[in-house]
Amino acid sequence: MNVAQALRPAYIARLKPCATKFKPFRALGNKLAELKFFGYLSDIVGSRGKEVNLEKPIPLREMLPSPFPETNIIILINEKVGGLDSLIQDEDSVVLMPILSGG
Amino acid sequence: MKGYAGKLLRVNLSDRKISKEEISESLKKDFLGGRGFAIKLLWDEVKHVDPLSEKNKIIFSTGPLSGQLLPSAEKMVIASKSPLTGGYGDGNIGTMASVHLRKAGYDAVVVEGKSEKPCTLLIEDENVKMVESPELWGKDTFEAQDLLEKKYGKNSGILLIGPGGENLIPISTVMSQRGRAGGRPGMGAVMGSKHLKAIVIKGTGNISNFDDPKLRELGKKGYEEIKTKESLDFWMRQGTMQAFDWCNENGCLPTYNFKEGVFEFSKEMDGYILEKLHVDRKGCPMCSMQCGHVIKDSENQRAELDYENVGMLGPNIGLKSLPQVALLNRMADEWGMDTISLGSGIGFLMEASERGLIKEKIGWGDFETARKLVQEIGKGEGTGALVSKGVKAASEAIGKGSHRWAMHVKGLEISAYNCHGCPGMALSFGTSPIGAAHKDAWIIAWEISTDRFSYSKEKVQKLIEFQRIRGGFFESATVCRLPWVEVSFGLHWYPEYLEAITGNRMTWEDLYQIGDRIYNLIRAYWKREIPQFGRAWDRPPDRWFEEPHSQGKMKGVKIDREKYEEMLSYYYELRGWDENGIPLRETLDAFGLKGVAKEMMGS
Repeated sequence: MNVAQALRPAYIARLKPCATKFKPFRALGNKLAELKFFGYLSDIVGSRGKEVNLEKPIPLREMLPSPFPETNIIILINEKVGGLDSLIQDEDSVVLMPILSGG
Repeated sequence: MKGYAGKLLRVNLSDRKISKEEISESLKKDFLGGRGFAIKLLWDEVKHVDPLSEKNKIIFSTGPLSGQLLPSAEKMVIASKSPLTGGYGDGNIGTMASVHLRKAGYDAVVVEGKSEKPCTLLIEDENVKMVESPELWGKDTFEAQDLLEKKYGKNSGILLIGPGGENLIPISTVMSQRGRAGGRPGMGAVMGSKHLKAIVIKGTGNISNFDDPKLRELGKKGYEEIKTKESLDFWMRQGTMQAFDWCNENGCLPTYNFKEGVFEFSKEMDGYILEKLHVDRKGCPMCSMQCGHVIKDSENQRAELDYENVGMLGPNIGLKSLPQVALLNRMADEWGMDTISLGSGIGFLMEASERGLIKEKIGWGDFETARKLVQEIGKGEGTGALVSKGVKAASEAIGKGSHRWAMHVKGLEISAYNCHGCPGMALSFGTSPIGAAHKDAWIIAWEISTDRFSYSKEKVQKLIEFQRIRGGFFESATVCRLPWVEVSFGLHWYPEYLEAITGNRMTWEDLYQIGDRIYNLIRAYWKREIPQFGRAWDRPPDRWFEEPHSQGKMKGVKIDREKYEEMLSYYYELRGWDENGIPLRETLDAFGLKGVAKEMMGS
């Protein structure tokens, strides 16, 4: 085990699919929607990432804790700019990150 | 106008003449302070001189917010004609010296001439003197800080240089408090050229403000607002290092001399690793959200890290161990050299070695050689000597197309954001008034949050708005921008603070005007000092236009040169500059800069 593995928060290693609305029978090989959270947004969600199995497309905000910051955040859905009301479906890659500076 | 000490301290190290001058009301009104004061003084007094000659001057300049009991109001600007770029150079630094200077009764210090022997400038309120200090010469900035604190008191405001500045290395900075640094474009070398090792300031007075009770109330409310911010807790844990995995995710982490935007070992050195290794926090006075994270380096010594130095001394040179990066960073601080330029220089050498352009074998991530190079660069010796004057000079020395991947603009090394996929940020680096610094317009987050790959007019407009706020207001007020940028501290506070301090009600529009005046005068300074200066100085290196990334989500991405030029032309149009980027006479006149156009053109 290298230093990085040793120091990595345990919850990252234990990440499990977390579904808001499970499909009863997920087609084999169907990819889940993947959500990644950066900066303090990961604190709000309690995780740096999760995979979600969706019955049907649902607005992003329904998959997030409420309240969730509405401004000064970046939402990318499949590499394109999205919003909290964008519909998310299986196989989508969603990235939520704060506006920050880096110095 | 209230809120200013109203005095400028002028020290000539050649004839030891010390004088105190009134700061005019028009200077305060038109240029605010900090960078504004600095460029006006340099424009008036430093013309066509060798930056490392005794004819150059170095300015330490505060603004009306400096030293006030307000969130992160601890900055000062250090400015001079740059030995690295040949144009206007400055940097801000958060330090007790800023607080003490104001308490001592001065808004700015101008140091000119050259001392025969190494000296320290001692400012104790009204009493100012030069003290010979040969015992400090050759000492690193940590050791010299210890000796100065022992002699003058732990709470003194101290600015000093390390061996890098003494050796006139153009990437050397001014340091304070064992890790605070400022003046990337070689301000340390200018101090060194004057044999000025340190400035020690002890002020015991008070700043006289227009409405002190109101200011105290506003300051308290400001600190309280910061405490309520949802993002504060995470900021306190990771500071600027939260940008590390953010940049990697967005494909803009400087990797292998800016060849790539993602680093395969990023998870081994990101902000979460920093959290685990964190042993202490450091920062500036007045700050309630200090950004310096101390870890134990690979020699078990304490070293302070932030995103810029990790980005440039980590992935940019292929180094994946945070403790090893911390050691290189500590060495840079001890030697008093800029970590961004240092990382860029070492990355340049590694690439030159890979391409067989230098005989030494320096592999990516070769920590021991990098460590040796830091010393060589600080001495201007050995292989390191090649990049000790910056990567622009290095590429000119070795030729063979190396200018295409010498990562600088205007001679100043690019800070830690790779812009193959961020044309707006590339323009931000391109048009920064000191060279490729991020402090003036960090548009990259806004850019990614909107229409990342566009070359829109809206993006150029936004860039200028950021330059006005960051490079204009924050650099001149002088106050740290991080509460605004990192935890969304309200910009509306600043005009309120200024009103309580000075008694003048100013809107952001008024402050934009001041910022634009400053930008125009800086631009004119470049043109006056470098007659051939023009559009070519605003172009980032060819790598971003010609060599797309080969890895990650940004694979295949590069900037479109023609569209970049279109954005640049629109930028000039908005600024009131000609197609070569030179301010038009009517633009300069409109900002009250009478006579500047004529002098700028050398007529």
